[in-house]
Amino acid sequence: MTAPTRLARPRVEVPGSVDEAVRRLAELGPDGAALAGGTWLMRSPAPPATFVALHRIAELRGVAAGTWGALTTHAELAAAPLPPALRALRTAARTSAFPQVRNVATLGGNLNARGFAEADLVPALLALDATVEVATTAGRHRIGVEGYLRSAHGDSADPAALLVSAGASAPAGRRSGYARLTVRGGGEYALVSVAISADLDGAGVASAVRVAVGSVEARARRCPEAEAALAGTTLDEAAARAAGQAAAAVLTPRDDLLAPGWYRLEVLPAVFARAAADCLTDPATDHDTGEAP
Amino acid sequence: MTALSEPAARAVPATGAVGRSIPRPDAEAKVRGAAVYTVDLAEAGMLHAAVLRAELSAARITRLDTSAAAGLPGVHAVVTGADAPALSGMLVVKDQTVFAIDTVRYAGEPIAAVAAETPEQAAAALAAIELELEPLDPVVDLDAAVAPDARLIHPGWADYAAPVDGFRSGNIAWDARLEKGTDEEWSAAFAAAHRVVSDEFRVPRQHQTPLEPHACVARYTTGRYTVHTSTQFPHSVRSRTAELLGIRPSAVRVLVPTVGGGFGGKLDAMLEPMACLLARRSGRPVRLVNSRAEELATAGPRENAVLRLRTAVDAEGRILAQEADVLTDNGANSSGETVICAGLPALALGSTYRIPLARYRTRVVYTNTAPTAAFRGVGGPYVVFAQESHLDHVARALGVDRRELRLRNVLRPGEAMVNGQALDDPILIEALESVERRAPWDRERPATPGKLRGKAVVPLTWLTNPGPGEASVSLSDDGTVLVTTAATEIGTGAIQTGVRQIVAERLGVHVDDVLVSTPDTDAAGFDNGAQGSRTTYGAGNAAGEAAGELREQILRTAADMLEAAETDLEIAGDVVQVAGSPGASVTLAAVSAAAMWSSGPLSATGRFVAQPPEFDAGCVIGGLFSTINATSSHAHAAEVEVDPDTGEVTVLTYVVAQDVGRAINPAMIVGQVNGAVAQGVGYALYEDLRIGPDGRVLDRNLETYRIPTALDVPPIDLEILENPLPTGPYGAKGVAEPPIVPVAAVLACAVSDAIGVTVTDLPLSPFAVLAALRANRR
Amino acid sequence: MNYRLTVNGRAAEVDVPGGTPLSDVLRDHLHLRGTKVSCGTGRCGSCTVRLGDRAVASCLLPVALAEAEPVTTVEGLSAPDGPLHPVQEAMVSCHGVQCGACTPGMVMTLSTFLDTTADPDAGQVREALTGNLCRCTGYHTIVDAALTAAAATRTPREDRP
Ligand SMILES: Cc1cc2nc3c(=O)[nH]c(=O)nc-3n(C[C@H](O)[C@@H](O)[C@H](O)COP(=O)(O)OP(=O)(O)OC[C@H]3O[C@@H](n4cnc5c(N)ncnc54)[C@H](O)[C@@H]3O)c2cc1C
Ligand code: FES
Ligand code: FES
Repeated sequence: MTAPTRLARPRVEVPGSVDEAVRRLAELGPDGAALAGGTWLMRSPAPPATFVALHRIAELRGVAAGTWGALTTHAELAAAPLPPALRALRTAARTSAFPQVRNVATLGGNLNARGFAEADLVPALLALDATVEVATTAGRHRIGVEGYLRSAHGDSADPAALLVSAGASAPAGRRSGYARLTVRGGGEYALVSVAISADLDGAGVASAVRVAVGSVEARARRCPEAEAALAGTTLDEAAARAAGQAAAAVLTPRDDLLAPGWYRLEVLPAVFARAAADCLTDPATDHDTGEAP
Repeated sequence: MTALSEPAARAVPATGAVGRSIPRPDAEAKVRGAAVYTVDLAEAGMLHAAVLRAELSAARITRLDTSAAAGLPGVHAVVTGADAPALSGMLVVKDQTVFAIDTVRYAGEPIAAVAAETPEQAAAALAAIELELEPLDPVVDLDAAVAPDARLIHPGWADYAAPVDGFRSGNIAWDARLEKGTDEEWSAAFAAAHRVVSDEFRVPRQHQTPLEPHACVARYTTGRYTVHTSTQFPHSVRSRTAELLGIRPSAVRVLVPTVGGGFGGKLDAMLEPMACLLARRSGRPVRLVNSRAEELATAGPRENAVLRLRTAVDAEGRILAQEADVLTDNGANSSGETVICAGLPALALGSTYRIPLARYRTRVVYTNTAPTAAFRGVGGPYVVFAQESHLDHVARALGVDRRELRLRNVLRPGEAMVNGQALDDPILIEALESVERRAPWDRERPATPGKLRGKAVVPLTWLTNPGPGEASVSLSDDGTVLVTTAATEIGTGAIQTGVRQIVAERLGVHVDDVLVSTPDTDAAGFDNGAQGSRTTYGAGNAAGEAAGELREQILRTAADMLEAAETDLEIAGDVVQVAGSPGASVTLAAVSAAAMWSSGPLSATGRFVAQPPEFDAGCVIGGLFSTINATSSHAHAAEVEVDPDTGEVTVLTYVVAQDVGRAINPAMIVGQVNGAVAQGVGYALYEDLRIGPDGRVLDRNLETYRIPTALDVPPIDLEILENPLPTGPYGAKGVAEPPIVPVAAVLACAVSDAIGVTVTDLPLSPFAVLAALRANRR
Repeated sequence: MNYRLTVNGRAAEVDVPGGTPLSDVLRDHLHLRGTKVSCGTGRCGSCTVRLGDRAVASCLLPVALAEAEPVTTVEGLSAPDGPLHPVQEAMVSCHGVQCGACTPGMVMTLSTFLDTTADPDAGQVREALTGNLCRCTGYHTIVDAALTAAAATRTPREDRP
């Protein structure tokens, strides 16, 4: 309680390329951090002495079909013309936080914010089976987002690993959706968030179901028990609620000032039902109600 | 920083200023970002202060050494309890020092303060202060604090001065009772009762959260302190700062820039004494501003409370006798209003309904937590929440319709409130009828599939703060009128529109030509502060009286100039004219000039304090507030929907009928009702300033302390009822406070109706509602 | 480090660490104190300014990220002695201002929002305001102001009654 305000004022370096950024991050080690939108880093009580700002690196920007540069903002994702298969990502981006944050917070920052259980894009990308391109001192590689998150948030994370982009495929017939629950109408961290992706056949029966749950545990994670419960269903409300119950049976919830753990479990069926409904939203009647960036 | 703003276009006619929704003249500076708040002040040579605050809520200070800190670069002053040993307290119990001395009584209590060239140097100095604390067992729970074996938070309580006699002992800072009826009557009522219903309610702390935090800039020169500060009550800051520094009040001059919100949280000195000590020690101006975390942890919130009610009713649900045992949390000392307001719960319980026999007791309890303070509607929101939820319980127990139960008990004209005070001219029935017209009680509207629907209606009598104030009004050389007062504009519009409209109306001048000085305790006499909805009423009365006298002076001078009788003259805009013959006129500027060298400048001072009403003094024991001044009548009704899967509450309709006496500026009233209902929605549904078992405030930011957003406030259907108060300016009563008072009650009763369980705790968070639903299902 | 910014159409240069929040630069270095800092953690919106065409929370924006695009603060929305921006005008006429501490942020959020959403409904306005807390008004009159400003902006000045 002694420090009246956040007074740390890190210096900022502005590399012009991914390679240069990676090199500087490697040299700085724990004394440096990549700076994207800054909405997480600038709230850190103990930021590193140096920020390596990414904003001048053109390669990290831009939205191409199925690929988003690490600097893509939540607002840009919310406004992007994503196909129904990737709807979960759009809904997640659109309902996260509020305009001032969505306008600057980035996909790369969202995936890399340490200790941020409520990051909205994470469950969406997990359910979409996204892959990410990573640059390190050893070169570039592409890996699944689940594996990436495990290493990036692990104890032996490589401080120089830079997320370059993320991508996900959007086969015809695939649908995805997202829902989050808050105490107030919005503008706050999700207490529970659920992303669902599934391939629907002509009769609407789901296969290749992937479900991820955010906010409940310390990190968002896939939930195979819920996936099994949804496979072979039409993602109807009853099936979604059953899947929520299956998830509740295996998740170990966090208690914190935002919500008690028991509550996060109890509401899972309802939030699953909302996420499933988002999957089934007819793209033809889905009027674009997203706000302006 | 000055409110002497140049008037905009003359959209408003000269007369008939009262009753118009004129836009506030300070709005333009605010939308341009040009208004200067205390947080915006900067002076050459200004130092930045920071406060070392206790990390523990109960401890003995075993070592405090500031010598290393004092020697650091850029550090100009370090002060501690040794520099300010005096005791003070908000009007009553003098139990507070500026800094903790020997003992820490709450987490966040100031231990020392530093002033340095930069905020970074100030932070470094704090880190260099050597402090050792020996922990004590914190006393946090209210019931535990009043238990006979509780550790005393102030072992020397009996030695504290208290200018008012009262009942105090140990951890009970104040004990107020209201007792009506003899023991025989009491036993007879309970013996005859058809039912006796008991409930226990718990409410948390609610933080005012003004967007501008507490902030001040202090200077010291030759024995006097000049403090610019964000306050609602400059004279309180003056006298409390003086008492805490052990100096006379006139040695402190308080000036108030634009204030970024108060809501009760800025009535007392808080940072000012520390800034003054540092300014004196350093010889430099010193700025001290609370961080949001400090604001939440240490700036006194609405008190948490436990309320136990027991009511005897007859078969129709008429109240025969009621008992209440209320514990309210004073926190670690009496720096806020909680002790002064100890008498309010009894009045809030017994001013809306007929309570033939009462045994009400409120104990204000010391705990090892941050001191509590006033928040809009002091004492009201939780007492009314408890009373109304309890009455709903009674209605359900008897099978009586909930609205009908209220109609059977609500006070009618000519009846007396529980303290024996006659309720002058209540229009509670009219208020209930007003909401009934717009939201018929029997209207059955189907719930959204899967949702639970509930409704409630609550009548309310509320008060206007009676406190004293004076104001001066003078005629300037250009014919404009200047009001000089220490009454403070905190955002409600009471000064910027209310007082100006009253003065304009009284004089007959353009409202644009009435200017109001900024508060300066060296320039204006006492004013009781922006509290209890009193500014338009109290300061308006004082300024109105002064304007009336100035009007006579103006007419006297003009009569000489026009060679007409005073009684034939009228003021119309910027001229004085002979009524009926507009050709014969002089400008106010000319009147001012003519007076200058004949009678001297024209000016007058008005004063006001409400006269205490008659009441049954025998029934009030220890209450510092024993009567209710300038009552107004209200009714609120709401319809809510509850999602049984998540416990989410949606407010569908919100209907208000409010007796304002006379609407001086209807748009400002709408603004006060909107804002108060929004804060009430926050209190009812979200806000909960949590305190850990160790006494520390857990909510450190606006992420976890949830105030309503634009998505959370229901549409409000307001009918303004005019029921003029003979002693109010043009009939006006207090407006700003009452509309927060019934909100938690009406929403809790509606949620209870929806879920079929009496809600006993606030807030009705989705967690609480879902837990209640689950418990009921089992 | 020296940073060159364009603030309200004027070039400005400050010598601060790049991690300094833009709000501090605006308030303490450029003396633009219309931008308020009420929470310092991104949650209240009182520090909202415009960066290029986006509304951002200046208390969380490192000044190093503000170089690339022009910054507009509340002081730059209309000339100090000129007519008000339609949002400012509507905030006055619709009584959207009480204490005013949230007002500069509200005005910046709404003016940016209306640039891309010319004809919003009340629900969209409320969504757009979720990052701006107001403790005084209960928001209704601010929503009214946004709708009034939107209508005024759609109607050319000379066509207005
Ligand atoms: C009040 C408030 C509310 C918010 N609410 C939400 C919410 O509800 N939901 C939500 O999802 N977000 C929310 N956010 C945003 C939240 O701060 C982060 O999730 C945000 O997405 C981080 O993005 P950024 O670009 O700002 O990251 P930064 O703060 O710049 O960085 C975050 C972390 O990621 C690292 N990093 C950044 N880019 C890369 C990269 N390309 N490769 C490797 N590491 C990288 C940084 O070094 C840092 O450790 C909120 C923010 C605020 C201020
Ligand atoms: S001060 Fe920036 S959002 Fe609150
Ligand atoms: S007007 Fe006071 S916070 Fe919005």
